[in-house]
Amino acid sequence: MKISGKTVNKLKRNIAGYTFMLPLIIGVSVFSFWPIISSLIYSFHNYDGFMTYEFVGFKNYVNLFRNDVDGLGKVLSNTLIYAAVAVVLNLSLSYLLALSVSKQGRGVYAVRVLFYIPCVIPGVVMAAMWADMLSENGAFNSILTSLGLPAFTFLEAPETSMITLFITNLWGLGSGMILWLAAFNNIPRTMYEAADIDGAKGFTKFVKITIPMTTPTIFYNLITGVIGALQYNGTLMLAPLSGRGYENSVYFMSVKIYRDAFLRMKFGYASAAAWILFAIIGVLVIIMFRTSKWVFYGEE
Amino acid sequence: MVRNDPAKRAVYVKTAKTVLKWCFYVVVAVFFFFPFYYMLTRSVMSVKQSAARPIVLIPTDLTLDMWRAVFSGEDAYSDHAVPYVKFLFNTLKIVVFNIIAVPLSASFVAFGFAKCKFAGKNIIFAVMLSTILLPATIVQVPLYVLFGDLHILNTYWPLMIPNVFGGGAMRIFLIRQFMMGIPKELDEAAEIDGAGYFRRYLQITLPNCTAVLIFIIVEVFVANWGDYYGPMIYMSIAEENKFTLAYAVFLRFQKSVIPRPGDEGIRAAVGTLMALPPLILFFCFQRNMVEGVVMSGIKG
Repeated sequence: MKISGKTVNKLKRNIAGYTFMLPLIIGVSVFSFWPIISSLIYSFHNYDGFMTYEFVGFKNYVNLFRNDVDGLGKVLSNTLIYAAVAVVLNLSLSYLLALSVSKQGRGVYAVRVLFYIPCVIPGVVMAAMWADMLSENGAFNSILTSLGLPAFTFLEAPETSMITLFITNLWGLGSGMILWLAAFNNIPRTMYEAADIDGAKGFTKFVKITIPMTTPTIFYNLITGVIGALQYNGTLMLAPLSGRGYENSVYFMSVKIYRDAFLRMKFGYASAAAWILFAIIGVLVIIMFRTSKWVFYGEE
Repeated sequence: MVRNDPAKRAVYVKTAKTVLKWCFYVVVAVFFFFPFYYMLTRSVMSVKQSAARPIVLIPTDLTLDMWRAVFSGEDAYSDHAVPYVKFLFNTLKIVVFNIIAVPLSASFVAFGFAKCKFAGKNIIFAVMLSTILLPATIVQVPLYVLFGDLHILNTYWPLMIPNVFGGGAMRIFLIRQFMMGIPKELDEAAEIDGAGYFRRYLQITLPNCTAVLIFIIVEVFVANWGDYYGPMIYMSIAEENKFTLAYAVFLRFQKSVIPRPGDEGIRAAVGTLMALPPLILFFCFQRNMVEGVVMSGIKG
């Protein structure tokens, strides 16, 4: 009796648990795993989304590397350069920003709110405004020339496009700042108090306490930052020539995949490109996990 | 003399530091606020004044023409009428559905993770977290095909259905972390009173999660309100009067569209209109967004 009662209870609990899991299991299967498998299958096919669907082996991959109309090498190197610089720049500057507003106080709180505002403004709106201000005859060049400075080409020339992107994207630093602030909040105050008793200076406390205690968040932001930056497609709205920039100077993988799939209707080819991007992301994520000894998860 | 007086020297150094600090703040503030200011002022300037070079920073020739054009849909500077208000209501349909569906489905799954015990929970949890690492770029082609097979392309369903099934790993994770912080005693008391899992979810746990649910609602609102990419893919050949505001703004003002005189003003007015709802929502719930209480669950 006792045992069977327990078993029934356990069964009940399991059924309840799986009921709560049901939406997730359906969602992940239908909207994550199934598409990933399909995409791999498509990548070996010549597929236009409608009629044509024929197996072509590795032809899509070979064509991507050998004779891609956009030049895959250029697009890939753009993407990697963008991701490397953007991640380092955004992580370090948002960390510093968070540090500078980490103390409690009303003024500091207002500054936090102000820095976060750009993150709630729709990207399309801001891209339209930036494109307007950065144009050849736009606000920034007008200000520069009236200050007696030479005009800058911003996104209107291949040499300056990438750097312009880095700078305009700093506008969204607030979202990173919030995560850092949460991480700072999680550091026990007693640690700093103990350090004070030992006579530690501000910088020492920063290096010996703040940084080690926030390594889990650094790791999380690094991984999601790399994944996000490799898929950056903000140029669709911002850059000339439908998001490619002059001489493909800011032509990134995500934009290429979008164009191949939905403008050229080459679903198989675009899927192959997506898998190349996926493979790069996968390798980088594995490397980051393998070398994550520096992450400090507290005494277990 | 100054050099020999350490006290005075310290005062000078301190003043210099303060001045530098404030210079830095001013530069940062200008970088962050100029785009807003530019947008706001352009939306009430006459066409002549916003086209003037060097640019006019303080509007003197005020007009509501741009706003009138946006609200009447008679965008005199486009080649045909653009019913922005209609688009705004289209967007609202999607947004309202999602700000109800996501918190409900995400908290439902989160409850299972936080408060139920069942076999395989840790595995399902790990699988869910791994989907954070999956690039969105890779699923878009198969999802397009899937929605095509379901005959729901060019409707709003592709932008809503996925949200019924959990609403994303990160959101489930955040709610779960929050639920773990709710005292167990509440739940146990209800269990003794004979409340089943579903009643405990609805009547005990959910009402205690308002802080994180508000965070999720605002975040879902912001994401869907500004989403032009989803509509661009799934609604690319829909009738124009079904467009969402973000997509319409994208089509009208993306960088590759040849600008006409007057565009600047319309763009600024519709941009301000689009920026207002998320801004208002953000200011109402800024504590939930910025204080980091919700985010403190993230530890890598």
